[in-house]
Amino acid sequence: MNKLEPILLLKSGQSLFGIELRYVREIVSDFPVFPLPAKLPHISHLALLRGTPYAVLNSEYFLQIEHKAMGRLVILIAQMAIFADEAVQSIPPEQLSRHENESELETSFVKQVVQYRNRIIPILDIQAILNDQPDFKFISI
Amino acid sequence: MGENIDSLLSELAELNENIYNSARDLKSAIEVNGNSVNITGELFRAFHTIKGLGGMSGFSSLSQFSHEVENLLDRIRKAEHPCTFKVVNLLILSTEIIDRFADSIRTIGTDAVEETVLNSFRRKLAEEMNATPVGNGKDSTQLDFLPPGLVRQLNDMELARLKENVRKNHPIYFLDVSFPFESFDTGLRKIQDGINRDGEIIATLPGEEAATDTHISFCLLLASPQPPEDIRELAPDTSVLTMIHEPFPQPDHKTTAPAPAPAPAPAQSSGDRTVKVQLKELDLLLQDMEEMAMVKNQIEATLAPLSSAGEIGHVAQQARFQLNVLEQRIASFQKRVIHYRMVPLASIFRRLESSTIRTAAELGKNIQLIFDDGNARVDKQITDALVEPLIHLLRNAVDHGIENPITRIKRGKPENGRIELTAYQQGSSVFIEIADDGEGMNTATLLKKALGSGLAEKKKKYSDNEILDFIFQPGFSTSKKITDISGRGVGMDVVQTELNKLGGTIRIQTTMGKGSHFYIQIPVTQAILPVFFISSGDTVLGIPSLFVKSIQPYEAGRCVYVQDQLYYRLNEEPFRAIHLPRLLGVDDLETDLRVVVQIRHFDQLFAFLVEDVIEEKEVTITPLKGKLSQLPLFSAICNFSAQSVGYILDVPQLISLLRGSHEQT
Repeated sequence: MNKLEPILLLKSGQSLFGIELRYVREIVSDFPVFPLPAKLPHISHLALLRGTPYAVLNSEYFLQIEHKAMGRLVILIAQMAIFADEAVQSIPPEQLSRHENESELETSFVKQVVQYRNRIIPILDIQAILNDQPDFKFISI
Repeated sequence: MGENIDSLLSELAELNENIYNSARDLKSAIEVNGNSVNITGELFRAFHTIKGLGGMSGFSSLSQFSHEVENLLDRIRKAEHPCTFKVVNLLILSTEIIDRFADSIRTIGTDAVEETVLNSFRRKLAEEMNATPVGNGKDSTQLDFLPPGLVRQLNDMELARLKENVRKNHPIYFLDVSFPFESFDTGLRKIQDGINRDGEIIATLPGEEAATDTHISFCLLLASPQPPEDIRELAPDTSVLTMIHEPFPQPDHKTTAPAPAPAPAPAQSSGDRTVKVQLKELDLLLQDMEEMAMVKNQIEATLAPLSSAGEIGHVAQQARFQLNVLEQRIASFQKRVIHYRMVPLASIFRRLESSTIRTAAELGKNIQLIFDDGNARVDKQITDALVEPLIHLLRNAVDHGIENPITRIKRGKPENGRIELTAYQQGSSVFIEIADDGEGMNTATLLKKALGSGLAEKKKKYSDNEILDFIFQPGFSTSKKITDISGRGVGMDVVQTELNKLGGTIRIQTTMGKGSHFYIQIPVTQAILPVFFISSGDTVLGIPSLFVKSIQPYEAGRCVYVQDQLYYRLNEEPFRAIHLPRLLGVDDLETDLRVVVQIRHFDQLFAFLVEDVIEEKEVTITPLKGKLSQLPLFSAICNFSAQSVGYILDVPQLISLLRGSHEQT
């Protein structure tokens, strides 16, 4: 079983999710975001921060969180980014407990499901996302 | 890594580059029977310095290796060993070993080079040394024509040089020149420079007369094809030149060796008015400029809603004018930085040549390797990334292309196989060609292999070009034996992939029995590119201009479907076409195609059907990395406006898809 780590708690619409704090590089509020030239299931936009492009992850694909509007914040994680409306707080592991019915919410991109003050929080599996290599079948000439 | 090691590696790299350049100069000197003494002197000093550096830093293996090569050069300097093309090849091979020493020092901190590699080199060195043992045969060189006692004043090296020149029938002079104290150094240098143009100063000795308060004299023993009157002309007016010995007039030139050709000019030193800057520092500068361009776009977007009337409108107009100036300055700055990144292609020739010579030696093939001057300049990052693909192509040319010497002779070809590398710049592309006069490729054999490996289908018909394309498929190999050089089928696909990553492409032409010709096209830089911007739905796409042949209005009636494949007729000829919005999944009923961009890929043409062409401009591009590299068909982005980025299409990948789909029909 994975050891619990400090997380950054994020809010997107009405949903909460967490990212292990060691992966979080920066939280940015004023950023240019651009649509992609082709429709991809796992990347929703391109964010350009100080000249460096980042893939903005599609939270629906990775977390099943429906998020229609663009978030107000971009959270930079490893070489990627994800939208959120609010960075709630960072939480040390001792304040987190494992959710009993973890498998209910687990997907291949959710590392763990934890409980914090009676709220259930899925934690993104950043390594799994980094290793994910989707097969683009839509390209046919 | 310690600062001392960094400094040692930097010095080693510079010395190794000098060795390679001197080896090439030596080759040219041998070709024209020129004077090679200065070059061998430079080479000797370079190896001597490496020996010293290795010894001082505790890298005894490097020091020992340099000492061994130095021994050969010492014998050549003393005219105890002939200077031949084999020596040149050994010197070029030695630069590869020095690279290996440097790699080992850089990565593991010790000078550990594989014994097999060192032993292989040592065997070749020993063969060369033993080919002309020291002191073989009786030295019968006659020197009694010189003033008595002169020979005794010469050291071993000078004596050897004298004998070598006499053996070659070079005219020998012995002069006494007296100079005023205040100008003796410039006067002496003038004479030395004049002689070294086509001859050699063998020894500089004290003058016949003791120095006075006002004058100093030197005796010069020299070999020169120049007549005595020209030699006298070399002395400055303020000096007094006495000819102690001059060669007898030789009207019959048949008895005189042809005048040695001038030694190639040594590479110009850049002096100390330069600084070295790491490539990543230039990248940071470019990144800063890119960010400035974005900020400029954002200011422009902020100013856009301000009306042109009234005081505010006037200020906004002024600001826009200043922003235009800023834009031009940013563009000029970017171009300058890009220019700093450009290096001549010749900077990688050393590694290419040493690897090719080694391969030929391992396979027992004789080759004549011809590289052009390598003046075409390419971005340093691209140049470095080109080394491995080019080495692979050259090694393949030796292994698969050039026949063994016996076969070549039987086929009426010269014993030495010829491999030629040429490079030239055209617009924003550099074209590199590698041609050999070997046996060429048999398309029937290639197709048989492709069928055997499941890459080709039995019932389909393939053109020669399509068959040649199988070479670039993973796992394709025609080699019957697996060796270190080839036969694993993991080569040409990697070559193509690496070139595609650089934004380049590769094509082959081959003629059975006559040889093969590889054509490579790469952009001179990936950092800045002239690009045609086109609109596609809500996004802006860029097509690198180097692929664009023409732009024409779209006419729906020219589209033809053949077996579900889209073709577009241009000048009544159908070209394979791509409906770009449909390919990217952004087309709908509203999509209105208006323009056809004709794409050129070597001798093949394709048509990209697009909505609109916006403009052509030079842009700084940023390669897509990480998750974004999963975006298919795009290789980079660029700053287009405050509202949009431009996505640069990966044209080689698109063409490869097109050709792949064609093969499936």
